[in-house]
Amino acid sequence: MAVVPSLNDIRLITPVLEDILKLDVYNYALSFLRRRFAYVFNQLNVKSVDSFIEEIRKGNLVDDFLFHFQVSDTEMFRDPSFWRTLKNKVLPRYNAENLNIWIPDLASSHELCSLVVILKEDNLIESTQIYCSSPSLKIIEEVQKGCMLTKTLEVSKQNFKRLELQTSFEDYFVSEVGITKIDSSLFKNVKFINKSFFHQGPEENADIVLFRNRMIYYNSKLQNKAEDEILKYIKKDGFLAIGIKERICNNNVDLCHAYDHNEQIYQV
Amino acid sequence: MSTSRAKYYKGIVIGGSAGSFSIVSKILAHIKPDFKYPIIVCLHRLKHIRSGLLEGLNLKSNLQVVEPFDKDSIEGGKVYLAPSNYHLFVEYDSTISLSTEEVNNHSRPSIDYTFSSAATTYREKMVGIILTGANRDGAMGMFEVHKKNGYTIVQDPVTCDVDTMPKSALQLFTPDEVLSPEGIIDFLNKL
Repeated sequence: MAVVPSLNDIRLITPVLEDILKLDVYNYALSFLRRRFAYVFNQLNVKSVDSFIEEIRKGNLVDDFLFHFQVSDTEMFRDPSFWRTLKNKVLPRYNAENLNIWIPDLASSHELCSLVVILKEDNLIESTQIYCSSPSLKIIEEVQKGCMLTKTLEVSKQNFKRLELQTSFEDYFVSEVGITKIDSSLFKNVKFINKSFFHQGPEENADIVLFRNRMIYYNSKLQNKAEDEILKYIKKDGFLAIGIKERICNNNVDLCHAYDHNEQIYQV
Repeated sequence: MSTSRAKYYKGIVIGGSAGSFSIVSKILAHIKPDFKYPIIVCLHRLKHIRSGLLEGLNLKSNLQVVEPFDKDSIEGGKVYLAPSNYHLFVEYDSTISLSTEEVNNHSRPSIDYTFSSAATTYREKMVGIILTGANRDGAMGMFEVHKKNGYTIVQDPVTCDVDTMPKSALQLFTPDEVLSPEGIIDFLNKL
C-alpha cells in the first residue's frame, strides 16, 4: 500500500530534512511535496512516515532520498527549438572566447548530454568549461557514467532529428550490450559540484546558465531566492534559460530582459 | 437533468484523448460568451508540437483559450489548455502549477493528475467531464472527482470516436450524467 503523506506528515518531515540534509523544502509547492514524497516513498519502499524520518535521522536513505526527490529532466533535447535557438542565436556570440556554462540543479544526464552535443557541433567543446551542481552524489555518479535511460532514448533520438544537424545521433552515442552511452570525451571539461546551488556557486561566473523547469516546483518565495542566487553568478550580458512555461519573478524582471521570448532565454 | 447539487462551481475540468479535439472545439464554439467559470482542458497531445492545438481551439471558441504558465492565476471565463509535455495541476490558491514529473499512463499531460488535483482543490464545487479517448488515463481522476462529490459527466460512449476512456470511467463509478456532445454544451450553458 503506497504511503501518501498528509499535510501534517509534511510538517513533520520538512524540519528533519533541513536539520539532517540542510535541504530547505519549506518553500517547495505543497502539492508537489505531497506527490513527490509519495513517489520517493514508493521508490524506496517506505512503509510509514515515522520509519522514513527515523532512517533519515540515522543517516540512512539520505542520498537515495535526494536522488529520487529530484525530478529528472524528461528527455534529451527537450524542446528542440530551444536547442536550435541556443545554437543559432546564443552560442555564435562566443566563437572567439572561452565560455563558462552552469547547470545549477543537475537532475539527470539529459540536459548535460544535450549541451555537450551542441557544443561539439559548434566546435566549442574544447573552449567551454561546464559546471554542474547537485546536492546528490548519486545523481552526479549516474550522470558521470553517461548512460542513457532506455525509456527516454527514442524520444531523445526524435528530438535530435528535429535539430536538423548535419551529424547523426550515433556520432555522439554508442550502444553496447543494450546500454547507450555518450562519448565520454565530451565530458572532459565538465566539473561537478556536490552541493546545492543555494549553498555554493561555480568557481567562475557563467556566460550561460541552464535552469529549465526547476522553479516550477518552488513557491514564489523560493523561486525569487533561486533567481537571486543564480543571477549573482551570471556575467554581464550573459544568459539565463528557464523552462518555456516559467516566468522570471517580478522582483527580477528589471535585472534581465527576454532575449528570446518563445524559448524563455533571458539576458542579464 | 439535475444541476442543483452545487449552487456555484469553481471550475470545469475537461479531459480527452483520441477524437476529443473536435468535441472540445465544438463545446467552446457553442458555449455562451459570458460563461463565468474557468474551464481547464487536459488533452493528450504530441510532446514535441507546442503550437497548433491552442490556435485551433481559439479559432472558433467563444472564450479565450490560453496555455498557462506555471503559477498563473485561474480566472473565470477563460479556458486553460494543458501545455504539451507538462502535467497541469490545480492548486489550493486557485493557481496552476505545471510539472515535468514522470509520465502517468504513458501521458504527459496526464488527465488523471489534472482531475485529481482539481477534485482535491474544488471538491464538490467542480464539474468533471471526460470525453472520447483511447486509453484509461482520466478514469481514476474522474473517480476522485466523484468521491469528492464533484459533478461528473461522461461522454456517451456511442458518440465517441474511441470509447476506451469513457468506458473505463463508467467501470469505476456511476456518473451524474452520460451525455452526448450536444448534451454537454446544453448542460454547461445552463450553469
